[in-house]
Amino acid sequence: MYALSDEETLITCAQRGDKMAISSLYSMYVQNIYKYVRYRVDSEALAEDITSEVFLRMVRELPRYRYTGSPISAWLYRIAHNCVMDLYRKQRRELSDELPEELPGDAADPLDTVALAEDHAQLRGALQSLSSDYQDVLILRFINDVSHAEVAEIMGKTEASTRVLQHRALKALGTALRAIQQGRAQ
Amino acid sequence: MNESQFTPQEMDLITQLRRSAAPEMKSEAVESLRQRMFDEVDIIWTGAQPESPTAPARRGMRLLPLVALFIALASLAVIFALSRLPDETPIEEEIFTTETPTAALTATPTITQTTTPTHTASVTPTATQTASPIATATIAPTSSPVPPSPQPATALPAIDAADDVIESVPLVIIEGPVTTISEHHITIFDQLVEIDSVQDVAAQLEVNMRIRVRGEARFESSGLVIRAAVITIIRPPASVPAAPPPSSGGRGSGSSRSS
Repeated sequence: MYALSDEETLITCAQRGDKMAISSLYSMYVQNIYKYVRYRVDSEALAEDITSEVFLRMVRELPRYRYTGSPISAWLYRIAHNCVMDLYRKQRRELSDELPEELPGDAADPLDTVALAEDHAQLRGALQSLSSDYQDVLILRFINDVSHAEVAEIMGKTEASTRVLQHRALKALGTALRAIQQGRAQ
Repeated sequence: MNESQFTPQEMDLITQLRRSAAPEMKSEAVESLRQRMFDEVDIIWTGAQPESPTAPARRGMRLLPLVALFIALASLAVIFALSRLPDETPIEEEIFTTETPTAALTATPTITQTTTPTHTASVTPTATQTASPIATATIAPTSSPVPPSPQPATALPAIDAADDVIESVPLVIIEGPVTTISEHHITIFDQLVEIDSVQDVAAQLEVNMRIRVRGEARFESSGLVIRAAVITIIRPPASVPAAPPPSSGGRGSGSSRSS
């Protein structure tokens, strides 16, 4: 088994076709990538398809991957971002206001569950109405807990500009959420 | 991250984001994808070996379109030569040209190549290939009670002038189970098929689905690539049993793909 800290060794082994190493990389990042994609697309099936595409691309591109010291997750998030963008370009998808397929499981009271699901649906609706950069920075920072440095690497920006982007994205999310809540109240 | 820099409103939004349901990929889907990755690893790293036992067969397979093209050209040359034969009798002649270039081998996948105008070659890749093109020209003179025409009779091959132009790109039909799917390509066994022009059908494809692809074959640096023009789904994928839970080193290179 490989140590988490020894990602470079893991990548080197994976580049030689070592299935154990590839499997370890996959296990380390599959849920994070899925979570990111799931927030960017409407359906669970689509999120699974895109996650599959990300990791199959990872396998295919591994021989050409150059380790630069930053975690391979930055590269995987970039692939995921590109896959999502490809999907948007193909489908020009409208904002979906369907309820989430998975309800939060920590609310015992059914009424609380419905209320939470509605809150969550509103939040996702507001999130999906934002620009792609805003969505990326909010999902990566606050849902996937990615550091500013890594977000900057993933988005191809400086750390300072991602901080500014985060500030503006939060502001835009607040505005969008209020608009949705007011729309439902009327 | 210093959270004191956020306003209360921003902190509220951040809390909502963090509390929002964080869906996880189902374990069956995770294991299924892991198996697909292993299959892909087998394809990539096995294919990268310098000389595999199937390499000669693969090389032979790459030559098949050239062989088919050569046979078609040879057949046309025979027809052309026959049509230019000096005609000494004032009798109308009908020339029926039948070409039966056959290279019938038995193995999967089955590739059927058709090159216009009148050429059909059924070729299946195996380690040894035999191609025995036979061009047969049957001339069936028919006597006519009509007095000879003052003009010299001409031999009329049953081919249009337009048929003199051979398509440089042979048409290929390949049938078999889909082994891998990516955005622009699928593979049927090891044969790469480009699916850009049939995205509507391609979107329905799944691994293990048995399909028939009709398209154009061309050579690229990576070998023979088929550009799909028509995809017909023959059979949906067989249900694949749930993959076993991940174990340390339990997975060998042998993938248990159902066909």
